[in-house]
Amino acid sequence: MYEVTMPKLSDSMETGQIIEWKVKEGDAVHEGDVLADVESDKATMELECFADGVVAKILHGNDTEVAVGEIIAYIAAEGEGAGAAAKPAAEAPPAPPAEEKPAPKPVAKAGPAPPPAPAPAPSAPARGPGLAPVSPYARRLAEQKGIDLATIAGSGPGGRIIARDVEAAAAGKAPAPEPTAPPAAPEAAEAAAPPPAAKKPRELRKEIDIDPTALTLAQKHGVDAATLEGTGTNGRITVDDVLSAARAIPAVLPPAPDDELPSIDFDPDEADVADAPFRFRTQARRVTASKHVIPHFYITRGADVAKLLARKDEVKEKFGATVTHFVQRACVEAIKQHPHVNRSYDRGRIITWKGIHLGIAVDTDRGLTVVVLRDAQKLALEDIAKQTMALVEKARSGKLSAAERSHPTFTVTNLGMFDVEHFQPIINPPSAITIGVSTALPTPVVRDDRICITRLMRVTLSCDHRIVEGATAARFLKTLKELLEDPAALLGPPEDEEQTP
Amino acid sequence: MAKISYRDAINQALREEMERDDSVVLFGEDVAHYEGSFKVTRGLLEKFGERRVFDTPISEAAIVGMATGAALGKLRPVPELMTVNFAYVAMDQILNHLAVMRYMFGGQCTLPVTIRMPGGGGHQLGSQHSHSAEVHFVHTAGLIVVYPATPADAKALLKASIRDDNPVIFLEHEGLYNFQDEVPDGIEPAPLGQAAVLREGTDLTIVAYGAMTHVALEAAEQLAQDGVQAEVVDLRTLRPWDKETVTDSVAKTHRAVVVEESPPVCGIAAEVATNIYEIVFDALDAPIERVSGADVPLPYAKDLEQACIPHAPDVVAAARKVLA
Amino acid sequence: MRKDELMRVYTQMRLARGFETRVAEQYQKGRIGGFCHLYSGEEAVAVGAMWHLRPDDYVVGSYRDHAYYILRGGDPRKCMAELFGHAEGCCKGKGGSMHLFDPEVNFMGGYAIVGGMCPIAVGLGYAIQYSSEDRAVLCFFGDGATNQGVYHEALNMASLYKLPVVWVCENNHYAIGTSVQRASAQESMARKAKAAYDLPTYVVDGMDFFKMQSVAERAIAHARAGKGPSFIEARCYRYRGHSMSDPATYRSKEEVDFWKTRDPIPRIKAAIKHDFDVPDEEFAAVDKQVREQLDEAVRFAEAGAELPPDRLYEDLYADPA
Repeated sequence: MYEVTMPKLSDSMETGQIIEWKVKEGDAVHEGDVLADVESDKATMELECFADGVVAKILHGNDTEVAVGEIIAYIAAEGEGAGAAAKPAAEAPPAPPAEEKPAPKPVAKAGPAPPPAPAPAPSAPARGPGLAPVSPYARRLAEQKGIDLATIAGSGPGGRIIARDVEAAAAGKAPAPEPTAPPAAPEAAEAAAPPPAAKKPRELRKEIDIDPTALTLAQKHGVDAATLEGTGTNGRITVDDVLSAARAIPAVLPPAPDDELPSIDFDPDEADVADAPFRFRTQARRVTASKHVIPHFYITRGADVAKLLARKDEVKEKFGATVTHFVQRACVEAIKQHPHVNRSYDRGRIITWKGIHLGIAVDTDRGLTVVVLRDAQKLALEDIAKQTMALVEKARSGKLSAAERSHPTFTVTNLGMFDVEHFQPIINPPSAITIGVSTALPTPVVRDDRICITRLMRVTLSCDHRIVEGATAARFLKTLKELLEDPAALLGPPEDEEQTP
Repeated sequence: MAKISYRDAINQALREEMERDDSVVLFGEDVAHYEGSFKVTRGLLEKFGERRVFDTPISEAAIVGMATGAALGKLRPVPELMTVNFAYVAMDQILNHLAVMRYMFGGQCTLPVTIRMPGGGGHQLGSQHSHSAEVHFVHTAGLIVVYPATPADAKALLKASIRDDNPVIFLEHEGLYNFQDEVPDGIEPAPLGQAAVLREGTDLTIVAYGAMTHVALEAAEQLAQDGVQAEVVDLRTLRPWDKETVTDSVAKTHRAVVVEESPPVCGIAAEVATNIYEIVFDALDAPIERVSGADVPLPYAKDLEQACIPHAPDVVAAARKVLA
Repeated sequence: MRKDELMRVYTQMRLARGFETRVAEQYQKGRIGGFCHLYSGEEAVAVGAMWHLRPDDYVVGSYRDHAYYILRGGDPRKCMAELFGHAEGCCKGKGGSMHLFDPEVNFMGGYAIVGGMCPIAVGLGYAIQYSSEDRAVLCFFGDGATNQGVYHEALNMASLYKLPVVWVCENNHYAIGTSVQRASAQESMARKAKAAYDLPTYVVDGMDFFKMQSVAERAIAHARAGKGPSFIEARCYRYRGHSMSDPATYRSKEEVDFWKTRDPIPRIKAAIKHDFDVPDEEFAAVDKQVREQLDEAVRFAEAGAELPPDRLYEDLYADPA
């Protein structure tokens, strides 16, 4: 039985998405055939068949995410029964490459280890920070000759105690009082009684044997290096020691919104359950986060779209434009007059977008997709209509590029085609406002003391209160209503169209 | 024993090795008919003929690659790159082919190529002709790098380099070509990877190579007049360099000054100093001083250029610092 | 050509094609890492060019070298083991896919730097000329290499010194994703070489074994006779992307399908059937034997292991200096 596994299509790939199987169980296949389309972190590639036979079993269906190396199907050779496809749990699954042979850590030093120091390094007498420096050789000499360095004045640069000072002391002479580097002397005298200042990293490093990088990391992660046991040479504290300690400190994590809900328990005969596909789960996570984090507020107005609908019919001969396209154009014009709504809030930062990138919610049989029409401020109504339609087509056939899906600065969603009278959409980040467009209902209103019937279309703004205030939203909505009710301005060229010289 | 120039010593080494081994061949720009831009290869075309001594077009990368291929074909080529500065044109062939092939092919080939390159500044030749490029080769595993300071060493080390089965970068200092010194008759190839103590002393160790060895010796003379005895160690081979001789010396003198013509950043002196710290830290009575070339491309103006290159007073000043 | 010779051509091509397919499979299973460039589609170029070589001739080539190595006589088991990074590989796992090497069969290396092997071919040619031998050097490279500086230096020197090098340019029309039209001011590699370096040039259908070997025969004879280098531009196509990570979106499906109709393997099979009326069973027997040989290669590779880290510093220097 030939095992078809999720292939490793790029060096960085760890999981892949089966987009679509091109074969089904029972199909005959040959070496070189394409079994499925698979998406890696970089591109969509064809999954090649390397065996002749019959597809015995497909273990993961379309739209599923599978780890690299996991079995996704079995191919039975001629004469082999399909039943020979054992359950993956029964067989030892192919270990992902990372586990196969644990790579031993590379040798830290290049070349043979250096020969040991000529004399065994004795442990130096403990010297606190701020006292005079001592050369390594002088330190060794002092140890050998039994001289207490604290009793010697250094004559080297910066008041350093060097060999001749130790030798002089050993010979019974008074330590040479004149340092050959005069400017350093006052510092040395002062340094004898150091103020109890916070220890600088360099000083700390002298007391605890710790790798400098490890010390920086310890400070960053709030780990007290003095409490660590070093696993490096001679008990030195290494980067690994600090990182292990840092990981052991439980971080205060925000609760995941899902966890707050009790899980749904049921008997097997009550319901069927399946793992939600990748896209579904991603969508669920994002929508939950939006509702959970962003403080939503809603304001609604009705607009009389009788004139708008008439205009729509007029332009039908030249180009098809839907009510949504008109609304998009109106939103763009309104945003130009109220640019503050074209901003986003993110973790203490205000992001002011340079263009108006309209997000438009599209219903496809793959689920809800928001396509993004970039730089809508440059587009006339006809362009908006044409480009939006092209994007919708792409969304429906799964061909949107990354740019066409990202950073909507203002999102439009329309449920009017389903006769919905009013709804409050969930904000689609990074848009600060998401507008929900409802159906245009014939509605009686009072005008000039008479009752007339208008086509009243309600629009609701769902606003991110972190960056949009009630008054701002209300002013924006007023402008928008006016544009919707008198759409002449929407049919001309956008005002910032570039003039060719 | 005769006194011959550094240039002639190299010429003799080439001649003797080519006489001894028919697989030794020599090629490069203007090495044959013109007898070399520095006249190092004088008389060799006449003696050995065009089959073994020939001129190439101006194609440094191909010159090195051709040497590599000829070595694969069992020859022992000694190509010349007119100056070390032009080696930059051939860096891919040197660092990414010649240096790595033996290792990457699992030891299945031997590449006994010796590339001769004159280098060094101080002659108002401008930035593009004045690099000390040894660092790039010394940094690269798979190469051996040799830089003689004396005529005797030039001859003995070139013979050794040609006979060695590994790729050797043989650097010569343009300023030393006329320098004359004693070279024993029938001198044998010197061992690669061995430094030489040219002057014994007890107060500090001065480590140098190439033209800087002579600067170090001059500084040692000046220091001696003040009663300071400096020990001068000439590295001779830069990769692999003789850590034992250098650190034994510092263990004895407790102070070190390292001199290089090239700029200090990630240089030979940095490598030597760091190793001294690692190996004989407890013997040190002062931090190590490096005396390096200025960290600029070399200018044309005469005095300005000289200010970029270490001279004896610079080494003496560094010595006084470590003795303070 | 005789029947047994043609069957050998068929066998070699099946072996090369089959090996590359196995490599693709093993790479996707994560057993082969790094860059991996497959030769599928170009078999007629290597088989044809090498057909008239003697064992003592040299071959050097690019990083697309699995086929060169095997067709020159290298052991497919040691090739697969090398791709797995194991010590049993031809280079002890230190070279990998791009750096196969076997001096016993005079395959003097796969090289990863585009054009970097060209001066090395010149050096090998010089060594042959120096020893007054009548050996030849085949140097394989792609269309992309013909714009590299050192390529021009090498071609110039080979022509200048009349060295016995046969330059085989595999013009598969793309250097990764850049087509010849977008990379070369002079789209004809042969014309470019001829105008600058004054040597005999051939343009040949690289998907046709017969044409390939015929042209190579002349070029190799020219070299052996001491008349100097020749240049063969073999127009061919690689069926797979540049490497295992290349989805090859710069080529249309129609273009790939067109070149698949000129697949050298069905062509040679048809030619053999036409000339010698060989039954399908005989071809199937060859296919089976090739498959078994490749199964064995994979098993051999799987059973091996990497060099332990304490052997990291081996093979750096010869007789340490």
